[in-house]
Amino acid sequence: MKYQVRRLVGSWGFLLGGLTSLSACSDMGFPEAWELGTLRVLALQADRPEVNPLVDGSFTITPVVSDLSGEGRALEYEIQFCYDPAVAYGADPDCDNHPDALLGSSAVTRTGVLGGLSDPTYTGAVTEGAVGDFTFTVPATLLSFLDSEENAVELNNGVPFSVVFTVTDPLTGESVTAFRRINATTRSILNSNPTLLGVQDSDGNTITTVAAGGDEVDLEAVLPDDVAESYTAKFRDGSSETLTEAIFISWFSSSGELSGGRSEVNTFVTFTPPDADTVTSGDTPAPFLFVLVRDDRGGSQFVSIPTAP
Amino acid sequence: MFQNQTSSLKFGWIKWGMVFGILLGAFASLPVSFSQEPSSSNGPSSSNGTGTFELRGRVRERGTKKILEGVNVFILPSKLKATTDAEGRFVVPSVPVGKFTVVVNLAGYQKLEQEDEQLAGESEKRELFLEKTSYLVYETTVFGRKDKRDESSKSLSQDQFLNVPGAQGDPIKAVQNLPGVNRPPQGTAGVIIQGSAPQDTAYQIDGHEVPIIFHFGGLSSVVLPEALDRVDYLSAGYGPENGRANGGLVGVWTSKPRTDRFRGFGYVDTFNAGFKMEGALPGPGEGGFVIGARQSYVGAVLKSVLKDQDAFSFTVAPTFSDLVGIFQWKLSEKDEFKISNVISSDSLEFLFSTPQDSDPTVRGDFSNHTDFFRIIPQWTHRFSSELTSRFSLGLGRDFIDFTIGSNSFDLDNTQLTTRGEIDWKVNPSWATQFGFDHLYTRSDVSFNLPNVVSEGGVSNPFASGETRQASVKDVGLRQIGLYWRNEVRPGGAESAFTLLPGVRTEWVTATQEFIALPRFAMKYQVDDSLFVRLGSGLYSQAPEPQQVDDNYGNPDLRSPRSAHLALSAEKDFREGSSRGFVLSGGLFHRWFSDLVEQSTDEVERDGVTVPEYYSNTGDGRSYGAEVLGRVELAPFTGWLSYTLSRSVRSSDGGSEQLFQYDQTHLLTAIAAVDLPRNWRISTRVRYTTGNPYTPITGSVFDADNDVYFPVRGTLYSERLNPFFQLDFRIDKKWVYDTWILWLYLDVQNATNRKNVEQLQYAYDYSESATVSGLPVVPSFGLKAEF
Repeated sequence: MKYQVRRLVGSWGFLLGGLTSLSACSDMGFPEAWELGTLRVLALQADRPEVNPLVDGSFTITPVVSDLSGEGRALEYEIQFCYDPAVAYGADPDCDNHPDALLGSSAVTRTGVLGGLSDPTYTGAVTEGAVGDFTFTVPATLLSFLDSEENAVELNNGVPFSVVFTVTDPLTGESVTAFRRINATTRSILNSNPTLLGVQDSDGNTITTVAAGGDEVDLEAVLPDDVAESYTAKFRDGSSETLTEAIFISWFSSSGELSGGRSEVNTFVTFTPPDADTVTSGDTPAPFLFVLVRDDRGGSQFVSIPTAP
Repeated sequence: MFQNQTSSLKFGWIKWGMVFGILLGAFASLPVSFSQEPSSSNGPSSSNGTGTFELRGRVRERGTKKILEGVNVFILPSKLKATTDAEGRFVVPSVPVGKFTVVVNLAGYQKLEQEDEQLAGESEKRELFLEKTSYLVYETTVFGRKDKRDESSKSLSQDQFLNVPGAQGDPIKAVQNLPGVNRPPQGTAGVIIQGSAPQDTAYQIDGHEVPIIFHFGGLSSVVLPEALDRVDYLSAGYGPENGRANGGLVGVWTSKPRTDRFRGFGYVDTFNAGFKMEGALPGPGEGGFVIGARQSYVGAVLKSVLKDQDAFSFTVAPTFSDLVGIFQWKLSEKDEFKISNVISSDSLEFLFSTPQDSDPTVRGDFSNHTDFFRIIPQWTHRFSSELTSRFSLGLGRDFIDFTIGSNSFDLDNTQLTTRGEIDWKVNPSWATQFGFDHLYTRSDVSFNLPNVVSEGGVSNPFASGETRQASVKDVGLRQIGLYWRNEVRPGGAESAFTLLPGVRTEWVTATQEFIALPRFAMKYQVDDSLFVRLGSGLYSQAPEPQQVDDNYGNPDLRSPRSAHLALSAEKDFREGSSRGFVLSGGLFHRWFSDLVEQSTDEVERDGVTVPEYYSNTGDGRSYGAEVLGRVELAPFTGWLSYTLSRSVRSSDGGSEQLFQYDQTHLLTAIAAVDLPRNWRISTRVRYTTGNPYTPITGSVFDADNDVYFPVRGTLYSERLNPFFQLDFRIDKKWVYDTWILWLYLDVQNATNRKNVEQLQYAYDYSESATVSGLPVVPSFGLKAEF
């Protein structure tokens, strides 16, 4: 590593400029990340976020979609599976231009009609049109030819595959795309999805429903103490380190107000339900919450807090 | 494994050690500085008892106490006269006792006519103070002339950069008014020269490279402006004495201490406060010193402005401080020794209260410290009037650390630069210079950062980059430059043609390259008032350190190159007077090659397939015309600079696209008028074409990291709105016999125009809004100098 600092620090002013602008963006009237309404993908949960293709490379994706304002309209999907096009290094996150000999002459592409979104939330896990459309297998040949010494970093940290999922309204052409990685590794202990036990308020009361017109409430995700898994990462300088996952919680709401769209373990967000009158009049959707927990290795879990009956 | 050691702690010992050393040197000098009383030859004068007396006195400039030599002092009505000596003293023998009038009339000063009376008895020494016509003289006459060897350079003297409106007395901000200097986005620190990249500009203090030239966000340059003699700006076609910069060079030169008297000032303004002291040093030789320091409190201002922000809160307000100490001795008639010390410190810390919607990894503590110091001894030896040698060292350390949540970067860099030159006037028609320019760095660095991909000026989310982590110590980097410059008048010393052939070679250990870089310039002096110059050459610049890293870079990279061609001319219409116009202008063209770009390819290195990370696949050009007109019609002065330019880049042989900092039109107009009673009003108007930007046409959700990737449209296919800004400044000086009080008001963006500096996007890029630059910013300052 060779460091000459003149140019290295020259661009840091841009960072400061960006941080300053961060303070400005809160007043710009942008939609909040926690607001549900338009068509969006909230998660692409994999039953196995990491696989060892030398043992079993199969995994199944569960897309989590919200289309509250679509109110049950017909949606189509396209799901692709390909060798990661090096998104971390700047490649576009798609499979279109990245044919992969390991998977055949081109990426695996499947299409169908989406199911599973239902009244009243139109938010949650969706189902494939044809059984098995969301199940893929990382070929064992991916790792078998790698040298155990020269490719120790890749074998341990993993080689990513990409799953690209696109939902389209065939009538309007409205479309959203999401992608995720499936990590192929020879680690003995593979990553698993975090456990989400539920949601509770600041008094420790479990929250199972939310209602319009209620009081402001502080909410946190209930997680087991060992929700953050430890794992060993290897680096290109030959070093390795035992790391612990970072856990993020994402909060979504159909109406009302959340103090923020994200929280960390043991931290709260404040939910202010909408006025009952506005819900009754139909100006505001009935409130419900959707909570997602992610680790920083691709694992995820979610829970829906429905409107009180 | 990773230790985020706070550099400020390490820096503190060095910093305060140097502060102590400099103050010690300064205090040692004070007795001599204050002991400039007249010698015994100028003892008390006395009347001679015959109806006359011997009138003794001293003439100095009012306010500054500058000694005035060669000034005629008239005594009326007796019509006696004396002339001041080198100490400003005068003696008039046989002045009749009684009432008399002292009259002093000196060009540039108000006429002194002082009634006086001397009765019989011992007379007192008279102290006469002449008041300058104006203490706010705004000089452009020295523009680009002082100590100038390279005709491609432009220089601003201290008088100029301290008084340019809108520059807040800062030399580097003043440079940004010159033609060919692109306007950097607000809040960024750097000088963008003729369509090159900000990182293509090198920054020097006394010829030695420093890591930064601006404090945080371009607030202020890192050296007290009043401790500088001048700032040089080298653009296309610069000479072989300098290198390692494809764009150009901005160098500040510390001032030579003035030893005629002890002087100094202290000031306080809206953003910072500081002081300077200057005088003679004790001991043999004609030694002098300058010490000065500044401390900002801009952070406190910012903290109060941003106190209502929910997104983040300052834990340590952004602040900077700097210290400069200059010591110079004339060791002999042939030897001069000078040592400059510069210390700079910036720090900023704040806390993100919650993970950000746009990127969950942006959370928790943010901190950034940038500290450095340089000790620069310089020795000049004149063997004869034809042969001079110059040698200097730049010894220093840089401490930079940077933390966002769990991501961090920590650098401890020791740097030694050496420069040496033999300047030989072989004969009246040939002068030649041989020199070397060596850079050595030894670094300890630790980092744990994601690879942030940026294309078209749009960055992918922090969370989506591959995390890179390393900790290494004692890694050395060397760059050795040798140069040979010649100045030849083919037809003899009186020839109108001057040819300037030269060559520079660089050995770069990071890329294992030996690079030969020929330079050639030619000047034709059409007549005393007009010259034409052609400058050209090849230039190189080592890749950035992380780009050639064995693990996270491409060790096979080459140094990016550029070729420059510049044609310029200057016509002085003043015809020897101090009033009139000076017009200069020129054309420039630069070709860039082997530019380093991020790569998504894989390559085989040592038999292993690895990510390439970076490649030399970028090319580009920048070209344009620039003109600078200066007018001096006292009391009115001003300048007008305009640049028409285009800067394009291409990737991997593809089609050309606009460069991120392309600005078609750059217009700066500056005007100042000196008013009676030491008032001055000055103004600056700037207009520039808006920077290109890349439109975002959509987004893709990264479900692993809960962030959105921007989908880019055609790179740099749209532009921000043009930038326009009006600044003005009012100065007023109250001049007393032995000190001056200076009050100024500097107003930036006086029209409160909302100039668009960037676009801000919603979390999913579905909406965008413009972010404007600073609103109207008034700055009051109060300065007392003696």
